[in-house]
Amino acid sequence: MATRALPRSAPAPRAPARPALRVVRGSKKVRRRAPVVIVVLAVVTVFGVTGMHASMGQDGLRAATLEREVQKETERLSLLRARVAQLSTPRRIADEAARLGLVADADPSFLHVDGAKTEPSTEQQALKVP
Amino acid sequence: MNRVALRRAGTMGAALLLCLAAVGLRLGYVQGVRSEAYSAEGRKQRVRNITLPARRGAIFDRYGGELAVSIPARTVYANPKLITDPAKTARSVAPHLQRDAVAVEADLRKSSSFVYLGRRIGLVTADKIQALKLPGIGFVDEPRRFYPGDSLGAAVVGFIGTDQSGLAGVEYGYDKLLGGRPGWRILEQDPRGRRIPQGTFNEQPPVPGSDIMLTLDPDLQLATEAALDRAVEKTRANGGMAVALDPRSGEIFAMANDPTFDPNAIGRLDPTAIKNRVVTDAYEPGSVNKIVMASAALAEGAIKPDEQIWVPYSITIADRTFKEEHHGARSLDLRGILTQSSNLGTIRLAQELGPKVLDQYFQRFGYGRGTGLGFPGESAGQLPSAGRWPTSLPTMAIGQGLSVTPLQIALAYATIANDGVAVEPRLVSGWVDPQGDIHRPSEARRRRVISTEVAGTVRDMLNTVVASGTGVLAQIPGYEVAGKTGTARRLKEGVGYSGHMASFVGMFPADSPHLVIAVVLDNAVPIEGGLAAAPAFSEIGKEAVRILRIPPGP
Repeated sequence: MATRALPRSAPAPRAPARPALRVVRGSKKVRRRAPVVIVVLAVVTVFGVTGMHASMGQDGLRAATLEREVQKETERLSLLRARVAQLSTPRRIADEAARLGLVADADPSFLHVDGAKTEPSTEQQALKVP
Repeated sequence: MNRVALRRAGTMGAALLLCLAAVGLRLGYVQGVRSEAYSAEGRKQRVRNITLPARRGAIFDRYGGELAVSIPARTVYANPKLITDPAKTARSVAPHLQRDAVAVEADLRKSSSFVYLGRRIGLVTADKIQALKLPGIGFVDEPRRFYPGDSLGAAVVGFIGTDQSGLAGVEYGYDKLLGGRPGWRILEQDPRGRRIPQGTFNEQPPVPGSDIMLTLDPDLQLATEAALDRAVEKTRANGGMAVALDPRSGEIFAMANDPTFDPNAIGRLDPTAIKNRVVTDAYEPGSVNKIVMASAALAEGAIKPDEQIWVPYSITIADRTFKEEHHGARSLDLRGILTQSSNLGTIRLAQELGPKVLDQYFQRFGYGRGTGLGFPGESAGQLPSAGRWPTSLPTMAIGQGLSVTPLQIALAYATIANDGVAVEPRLVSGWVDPQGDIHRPSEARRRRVISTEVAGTVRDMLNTVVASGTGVLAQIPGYEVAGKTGTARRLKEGVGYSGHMASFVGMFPADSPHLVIAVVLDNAVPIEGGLAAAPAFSEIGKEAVRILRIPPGP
């Protein structure tokens, strides 16, 4: 059996030599500031969260106060409407008018328009006696 | 360090360890074993589940005037277990509640942990009590139903109970529509009852009730109530009923009852006065019923408008003799029968028609069944067959032995007024839902009962009744009025008769009626409808032409 020779692979290129790892130390300035930054951040975060909570609490109380005010004004409006309704009842108006010496018109007059006549609707006329 | 010091330090360490262990154990017990129970207990103390009552809809008259509204109010309650000095607390609170201090003190000394001190009191009064900062005294919002017109249309509007549900009238009949749907709120509160801002908060707002608009005209309602009151007082009647309606649309402008009541003071009302007797009480109508006979006789050709019939002095049917009250035997046409309210003439017509035809016409005019108004407690009246007993036909012909409500008889006249077409009555003209959309009820059903010609002829004859017959006191200056008087034996509770029912039902202007009014007086003196009820009709009519601007006719 005839065999075919595999092509000879080219030798792999050699990886360039990696430089040895070494600890790079930051500058002394940065090293000195890190704890301060952390503390400041922590303080800012704590105060920020606390402030936000306080603000939320304050807004909540304000909202509750406003809700109470709205309720109070709504109640006042309802009471005033009822009072208006009470003052405008026909009995009260009639009593008040009588007190002021007003009398009802005993003899009302109506103007007649020539030729005007009310006709029953065609729908009504169409109804048949059972 | 010497051994003693070491031993002491060891002992102290052991004691501390023991304490720490105890604390740890307790912590484990509280946080682990009983954690759920304690959390639940804590939630129970902080979290409140509050029911938010729905605003009950208002009831308006036809012009948008309030007949019933809900106004804010507060209920004052006490927890007697938290009150240290009941006598002092009672003395402080009682004057504001307009209650006797002794009674309040008795409430505060009760062994329960909840007592009402004042239900639905005004906000100003509640604020004054709250300012006293009394321990054990609490407040809860409970709206109060207020009827600005006091007794105006009281039996129609009705009233509600302490649980805010309707108990009578429109308040009861339309309770579901008016009541709305309550909501709820779940929130966390601090011990002083303030909401914890970041706490739990869930809310389902209540759905307010719809506002209902009635067809009542407030001015005519007042005029009708006043005229009825005067008539009852003048005739020393037990009571009275009146209704005014538009025969063309079926709209009821006024429904009055005497005695009446003030729904703002339901604790003190007379239970017999709360009924809307115009629709709940049936009575034997007497001669006002003769329009059915006249219509039937004309429609069936039993008599022609100008035809005279012989009316004897008396007729004996079975074992009963019917007599003419104030006249001897004579010839009368149909106009004369109605004008003189001849019982014998009516009985003769009924005999001509027969019980079967009579039954048909009573039914066509709406006797013995509901009017379609749908008012709570509405009576259908009683309509036995005219052929039930030998005497049923003559007695029913003259309006005895059957019963109708004042509204039913007014609707029978409205059919005559409306050229023979019956229209279903209407009290509610619409309602406004919480979104502000207006809803109208479906079109009123109409049906023809008699022909236009027959209705016109009967109306013309009824005009003569008022012009020169038994109903002259019902006249309205400047207007042609058509109507009929009725004087009937009054049904006694149980069996038999006692006293009389006087009535007048009429319409105007006679040519083209705009209004039908029925007035019924219970046991009035004089007993005759023409003397007792007709003047009240006239009085209401005079006010109605002015209020409704009804022209006198062509």
